[in-house]
Amino acid sequence: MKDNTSIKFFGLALWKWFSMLILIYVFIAGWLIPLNPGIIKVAPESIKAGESVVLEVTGYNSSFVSDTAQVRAWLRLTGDTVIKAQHVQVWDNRRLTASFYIPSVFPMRQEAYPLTLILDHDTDGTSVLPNAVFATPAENQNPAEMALWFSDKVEHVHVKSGIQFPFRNILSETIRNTYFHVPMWFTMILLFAVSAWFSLQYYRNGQIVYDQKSVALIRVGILFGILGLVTGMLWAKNTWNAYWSWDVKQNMSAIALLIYAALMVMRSSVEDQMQKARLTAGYNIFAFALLIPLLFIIPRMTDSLHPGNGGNPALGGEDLDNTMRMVFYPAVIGFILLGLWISQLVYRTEKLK
Amino acid sequence: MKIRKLDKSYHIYGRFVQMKNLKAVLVAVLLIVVQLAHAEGAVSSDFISSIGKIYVVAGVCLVILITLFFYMYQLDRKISRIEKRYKND
Amino acid sequence: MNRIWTLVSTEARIELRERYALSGILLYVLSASFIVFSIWRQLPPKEWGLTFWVIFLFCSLMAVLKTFGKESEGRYFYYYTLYHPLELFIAKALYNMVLLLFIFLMLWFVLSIMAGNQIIRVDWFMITGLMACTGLSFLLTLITSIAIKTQQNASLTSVMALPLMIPLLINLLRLTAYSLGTTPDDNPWNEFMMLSGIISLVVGLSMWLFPYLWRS
Repeated sequence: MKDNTSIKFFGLALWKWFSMLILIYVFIAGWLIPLNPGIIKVAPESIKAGESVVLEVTGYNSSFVSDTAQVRAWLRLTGDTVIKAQHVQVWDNRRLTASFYIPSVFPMRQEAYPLTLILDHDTDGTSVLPNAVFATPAENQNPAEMALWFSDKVEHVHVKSGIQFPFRNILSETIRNTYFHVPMWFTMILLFAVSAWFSLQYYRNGQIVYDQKSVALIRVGILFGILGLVTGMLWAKNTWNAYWSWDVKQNMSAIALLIYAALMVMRSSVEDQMQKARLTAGYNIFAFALLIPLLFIIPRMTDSLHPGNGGNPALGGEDLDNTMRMVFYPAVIGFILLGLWISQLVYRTEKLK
Repeated sequence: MKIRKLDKSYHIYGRFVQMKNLKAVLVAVLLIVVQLAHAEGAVSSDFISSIGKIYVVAGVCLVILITLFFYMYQLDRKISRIEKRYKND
Repeated sequence: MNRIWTLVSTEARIELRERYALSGILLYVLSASFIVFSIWRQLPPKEWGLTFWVIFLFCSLMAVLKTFGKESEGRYFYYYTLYHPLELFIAKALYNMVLLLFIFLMLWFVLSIMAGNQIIRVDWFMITGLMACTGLSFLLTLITSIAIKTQQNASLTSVMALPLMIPLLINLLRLTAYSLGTTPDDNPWNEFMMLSGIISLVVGLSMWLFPYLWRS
């Protein structure tokens, strides 16, 4: 927020150029880096044990044709209990059929057995579709077939070289939203935090400048919060099938927005300038302190649809691979700098009035 | 007088025809709209989930960009207003 | 301490003299639980807990709303010269706490007549209630003191207080689930620590901020 002391370049502070550059990089990399090959669909969805089945597999971004003889397929029950496809027939780059014989006995007893399909290919590397088919138990069980489960192993798998984003089953291309939706929340929280800090400064010094700064930050924070909410709803509709699924994080962020909206309403209903500033500072500090358990502790204690362990507010190690990190962290930094920039503009406008 | 009356009635008839036409056109438009909406519904649900749901990402990016640009636009207008006031003073 | 006690007792005496205030709250509790019960007809344990806290929330808002409202400007000034703002705040919050405890017990009584007492661990529910009253009374007293400075204080109090109550409410519901026996979790101490953490945060912050907000 201190514009006059920062290093300038073409009349604009360096960090603003930096934020622009980062965001351009994020938009380009986030859109252009391709997705790993993956499996979209397997038909039929349910099969019977003790029979031969032919599975039709639809791939995504795949290039099965390039090395037809090398395509291998497995169905995995757990860990090392797998069966290999007897025969794989490639139709085109995105379609192949694999024929399996499902043994009539299973190492454990369940009502249905979810099987994971694994494809391995020279150029595409390995692609996995969890719970691709469900096997129902056979009528006549032949214990001798148990050995079939352990005769094969998933080995000598290939890794696709080059830079790609991972392919996740339901997400597919929407994994790119990680760089656009998630930074909205990071920005919102950071803007609110900085605003609470300025409120604290106002509490200490009583200079009206700090009040104006904190209010500008809250305004832009609310803007980013609404953006996060709307983009999240759009994403959720297409992956979780509902705009709003009463997920912990959704609720908590909506509550955070409610709190700050209430602050703005409260501000507008006080006339005296000093009174307004003082009440804002007090409520802001109080609200932000209560927001900490709301946003950081409670989501960790409940289950969530969001990634991260048990609704962990941050993304866990599993959800981001190194390629995604290379775009995600710059995205967070870029959007935070953009948020600070916009709030600086808002503050300067307010000061002019 | 007779002619006028006829004229008038003709006029009224003409209006009636026009009304009828209008109604027909309205109905046709409505039908087209409804059909389009149906078709669009069918297309859009397919469309959104095509190419690995890439249009969801496009939508998210558009929402962010449009909102931010709109906010900047409003801010710009606010600043212009203040500038105008300064000039007047 | 003595001075605070004087303030609390004055407050209570005034309240008791004006009968309609207390009986108004009592009626509010009765009619609210009656409406809710006539919609639900029967309350399984989980819903019992939810209903309890929802009614309690609104009753407490109702009750605390007029903390600073009934005094005239002159009396403010009198208080301001006579007492330190912190003393005033603690007195108000303590009085509100007693009021909320009264509501808590009354609501418990009313709901257990209407829908049966679903509480298995009475001691834990008492502790939960005590904590809820402490946290909510301090929070609400602070928020009302902010809202009283604005033009429309009644609506603003609920607008400002309700979202802030939610972190408290979520943990209250968890502890209540333990005392209702609807959770398989056999160890309430985790929730207890969390709740007491939030409450001490609320109490500490409101005591720190009130003298600052009270100046005018």
